[in-house]
Amino acid sequence: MIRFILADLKRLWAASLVIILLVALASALGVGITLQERALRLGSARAADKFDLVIGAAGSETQLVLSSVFLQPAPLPLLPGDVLPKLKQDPRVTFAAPIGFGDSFKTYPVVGSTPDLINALNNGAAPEGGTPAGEHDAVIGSAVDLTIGQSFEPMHGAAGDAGHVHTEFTYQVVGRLMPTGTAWDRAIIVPIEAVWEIHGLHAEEKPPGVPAILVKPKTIADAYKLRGEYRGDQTVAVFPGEVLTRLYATLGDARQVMSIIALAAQALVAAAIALIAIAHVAQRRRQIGALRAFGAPRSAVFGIVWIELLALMGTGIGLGFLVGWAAVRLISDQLTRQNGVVLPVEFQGGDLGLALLLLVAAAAIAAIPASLAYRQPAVAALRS
Amino acid sequence: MLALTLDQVRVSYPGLETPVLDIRSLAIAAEECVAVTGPSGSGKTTLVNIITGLARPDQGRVLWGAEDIAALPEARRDRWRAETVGLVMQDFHLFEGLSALDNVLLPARLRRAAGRDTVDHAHALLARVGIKRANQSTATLSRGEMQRVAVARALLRRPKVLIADEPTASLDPGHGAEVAELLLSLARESGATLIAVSHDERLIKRMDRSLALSAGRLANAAFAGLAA
Ligand SMILES: Nc1ncnc2c1ncn2[C@@H]1O[C@H](COP(=O)(O)OP(=O)(O)OP(=O)(O)O)[C@@H](O)[C@H]1O
Ligand SMILES: [Mg+2]
Repeated sequence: MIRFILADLKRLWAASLVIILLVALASALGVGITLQERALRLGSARAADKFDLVIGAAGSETQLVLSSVFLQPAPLPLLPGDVLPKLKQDPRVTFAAPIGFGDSFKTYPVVGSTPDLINALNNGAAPEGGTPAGEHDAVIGSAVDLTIGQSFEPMHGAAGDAGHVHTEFTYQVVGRLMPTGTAWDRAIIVPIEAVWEIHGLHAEEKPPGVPAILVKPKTIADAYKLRGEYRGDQTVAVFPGEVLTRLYATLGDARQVMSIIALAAQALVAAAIALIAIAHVAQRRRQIGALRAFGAPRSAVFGIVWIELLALMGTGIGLGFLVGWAAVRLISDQLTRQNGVVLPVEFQGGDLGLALLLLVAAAAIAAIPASLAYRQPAVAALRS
Repeated sequence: MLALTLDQVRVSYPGLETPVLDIRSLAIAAEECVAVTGPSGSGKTTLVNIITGLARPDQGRVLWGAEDIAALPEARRDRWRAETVGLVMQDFHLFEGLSALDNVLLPARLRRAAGRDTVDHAHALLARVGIKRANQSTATLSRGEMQRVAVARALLRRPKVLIADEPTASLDPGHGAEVAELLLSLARESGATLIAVSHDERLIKRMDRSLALSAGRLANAAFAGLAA
């Protein structure tokens, strides 16, 4: 039977290929949507991992998260200058690190901060090469294309903007952070005082404002208290994880729409294949009749049609999972290159259920032409 | 071996005034070799369908030995046919992409009835019908060779009955004569009852007798061959 099926599929290779590709595309679409959404969710959750509480000037919470966690360039309003010192004094706070945007080098954002942030990003370890000591010392993320000891002049404005070069100020790379899989892998971290100085603000007189402050509260209870306190007319305080969850809810809706589209595509493909197979069985009336006439049982006729079609669709589904995974991998790698956030493309246990569901559906669809073949009268063989 | 008795067999189709097959009584002895002749549309293929159990008559009994196959349900008829009847048709119905040997074995394999001795028998049959390379792809065989493979397939399970519908009609005279000769001698060797629909005079002449169908009825049951 297997030999007959193989010979048959070889003979019908073109149609077989079309069926495999159709099924592969339809299942790749569904798999791709699931994987991509998961990759975005996991990747950004990971990216927000070290950002317990972020405080910024009153404005968009989402923008605050996008700018601080994902280093998305945007003009953020500045916090009043006294907020940072006050937070640093707060007994509920392990550390409070400013995040000062505004400059860039090549495509890398130059961010002003303090050693606390470097520590947090590097999991408490000292950066490879050394810890920054002076105002001109910069620490780079793992994906920044600079070497330790190299100097550079920052540019005013976001990466890619046509800003002017701050020729009057030169940084020197003294250390490199380990990879974190976040946007910060593409960041150059410099002392916040340097940023202030470049922009003509002087910390000696009155503390200048910063766009965002990363706060590490001592306990969860402290985190909630601090968030409550800094939610006001002047400031916003957000848990990035929570903001992201809200974002996913919207993303989830989009995913749902996409999933419905994928499902519709799959249903269409299923219907098309059922039709093709039914027409094919009708076309092979004589051959099927001959098999019966020569002594093949009806169950074998059912089996041949069913197994052939199921094998094709099963191959298509397997290929679809592969293609879906590869496509998402490609897209995610591209995104990582652009903004540093590593998106984990991975299958989970539940995906096996999806594969099984697709296979069961394929088996059901294959059973339609197979039962038609089963019920076909055997006399057809002798009629011409 | 098996004798055939038809009793009050009638096949009609809706919309046709007269039945396409209407045989009061017909008896064919075991091991007899009988030709069936008649003009196109006279019901020859219908008769083959009825006596092989591929179709059921509207009424009447189709007795092979003591068994009325017209009374069997479809699956039982399929099994009976697989075990009892070897069929050869005008079209060879060989499956391209399978070797000659695999074609011979296919129906038995689909019934899971192809053990070692069956495979050995298939080799022997292929040799007997003059196919030298059992593994030759069917697509490359000549038409005469194809029909000889079909004859080997029909004989694989040592059927008690050999039935052929125009076995030589799609072959040139030379190949036709070879196949006719093979059918006859193999039927005689194995003691199978042979019923062959044919227009081929050379085949008809060598059968024990010939039946003439006309508009679904048996005309003068002419005896030929031995009886002549
Ligand atoms: N399914 C059917 N419905 C209606 N009429 C049918 C059907 N099958 C066969 N017939 C008719 O029954 C008659 C006998 O057909 P059959 O095939 O037995 O003839 P035949 O003697 O084998 O002819 P040929 O020599 O051309 O093969 C024909 O008139 C045919 O049209
Ligand atoms: Mg006919």
